[in-house]
Amino acid sequence: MSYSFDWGVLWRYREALLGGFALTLALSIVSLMGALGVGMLAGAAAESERRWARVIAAAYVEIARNVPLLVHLYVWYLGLTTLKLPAFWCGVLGLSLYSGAYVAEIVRSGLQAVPAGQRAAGLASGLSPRQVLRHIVYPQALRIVAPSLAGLFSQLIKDSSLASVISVAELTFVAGAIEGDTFRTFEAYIGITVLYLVAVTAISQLTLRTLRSRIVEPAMRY
Amino acid sequence: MTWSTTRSRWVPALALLFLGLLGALAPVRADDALEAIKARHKLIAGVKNDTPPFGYIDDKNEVVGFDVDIVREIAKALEVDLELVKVTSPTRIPLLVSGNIDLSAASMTHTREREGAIDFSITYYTGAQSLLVPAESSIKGLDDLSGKTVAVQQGTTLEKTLAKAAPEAKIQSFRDYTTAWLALRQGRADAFTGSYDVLRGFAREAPGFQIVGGKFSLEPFGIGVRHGDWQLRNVVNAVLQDLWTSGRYREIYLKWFQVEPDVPIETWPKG
Repeated sequence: MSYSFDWGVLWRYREALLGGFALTLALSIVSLMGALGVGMLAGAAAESERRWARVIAAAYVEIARNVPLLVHLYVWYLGLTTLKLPAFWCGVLGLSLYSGAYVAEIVRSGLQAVPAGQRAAGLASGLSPRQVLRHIVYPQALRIVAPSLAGLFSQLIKDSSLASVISVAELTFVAGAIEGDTFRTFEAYIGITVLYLVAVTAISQLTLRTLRSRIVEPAMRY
Repeated sequence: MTWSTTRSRWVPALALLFLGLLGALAPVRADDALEAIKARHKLIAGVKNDTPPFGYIDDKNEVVGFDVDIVREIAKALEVDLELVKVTSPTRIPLLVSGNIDLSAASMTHTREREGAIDFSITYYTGAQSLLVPAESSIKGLDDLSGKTVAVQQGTTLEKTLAKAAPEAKIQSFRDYTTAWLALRQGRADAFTGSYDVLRGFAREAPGFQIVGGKFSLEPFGIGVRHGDWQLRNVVNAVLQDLWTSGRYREIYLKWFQVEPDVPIETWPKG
C-alpha cells in the first residue's frame, strides 16, 4: 500500500476540531430549540379549529419539507443577503425551519393519537378547552411522540453538517480545512465521523432521558 | 424502558464494528501505476470541473481547461487513451490513493505539508494570487482590506497567504470556489481572493468585476501521483519538460490564459 495513515494530523488540528465540534453542538442545539418552537406552533395550528390556522400550518409544512435543506441554507445565506445575517444564524434559520416542519408533523400525529374520548371527558369534567389541552391532550401526545422527536434531533445534528457550505466553521467544514492543508482526507473525515457518532449518540440519549423524566413520567402520574 | 437499555448496549458495539470496517478500508492499488496504465491502455486522470480555466464544464457540457490539455498531452506521450474523472477537494486524494485515478491534475498547489500524503510532479504552472472586487469598490489593493470581508476557498494556500498579507481582513472561507464567487456577487463579501487566472476566468463570465492589487504570493501547481509511483512521476516530469522545449506548452498556455507563460518549466538534460 502506498498510503500510510498519519493520525497525528488529528492531534495537530485538535483546536480546530474541538472548535468545530463545539460549533456543531451549538448549531444543533439552537436549531433544535427553534425547530421545537416552530414545530409545536405549526403542529398545534394544524389541529386547530380555525381554518386559516390549518391552511397556514399546512402551507408551511409543505414548503419547508419539500425544499431541500441545502436550498434552505442558500436562500437564507445568499438569497436574503440584504439581511446581512451572520452565517451561523442563517444556518440556524435554515435548520430550524426545515426541521420545524418535521416536528410539526410529529406533533400533529401525536395530537391525533390521543383518543377523542380523553378530550370529551376532560370537557365533561368541567375543564376549559385550554385546560384540556394543557393537562390532558399535550402530556399524552408528547409521551407518544418522544421517541420520534429524539430521532429527529439526531437527524438534525447530522443535517447541521450542510451548514459548512455557507461557511459556518462546524465539524464538516473543519474537516475540509484539514484536508486542504494536509491532503489527509481519510484521517480528517474518519476523525469527524467518530465525533459525529459521539455527538449523535450522546444527544439522542440525553434527549430521550430528558423527555422521559420531564414529560413522560410526570404525565404517567395522572 | 427495556427498549432504551438494549439500545444503549448496541451503540458502543456498533461504533466498534464501524471502526473495524474503516480499518479494513485499507486502500488497494496496482503495484505500478505506469504498468497498469499501459496494460489497460488508458490513463485515468482526475481533473476539476468547477475551476475555470483549469478544469471546468464548457457550453458543450464537456470538461475542458488547461489541466485537461496537459493530461491529454501526457496520455498522448504514453500512447494510451485518456479517461477524465471529475474530482473535488474531498475526493481527489481518496480516489488517487485507492487507485481509481492514476494521477490528479486538479489545480493543486504543491506544498511540503501535502507531500506527506502524495507525491508531486515538477511545477507545471505557477500561479499568483490576486483580488477580485466589484468595479465600483473602494478596494484597490491589499492595504484596503482592513475590516473588509474577503471570500476564499477553504484549506487553500490562498487562505493562509491572505491571512498573512492582510491580517486586518475578515476572511470568510467557503468549501468551493463557486460559493465564494457567489458570495462576492451577492454582496456577502467585499472581495474574493484566488488564483489570478481563476479570478480572470470568473470575471469573464460576469462584467462589473475587476481584478485589483496586482499579484501576490506564488502558487506552484504540481500533478499528484501516489507515494512511491516514481515511474509515473518520471514520465509526467519528462512530458512536461518536452512540452516546454517543443513549444506545445506555450500554445496551451496561450490558449487558456491569452498571455505568454511568465515562468518557464525547468528542464533537465537528457543525459
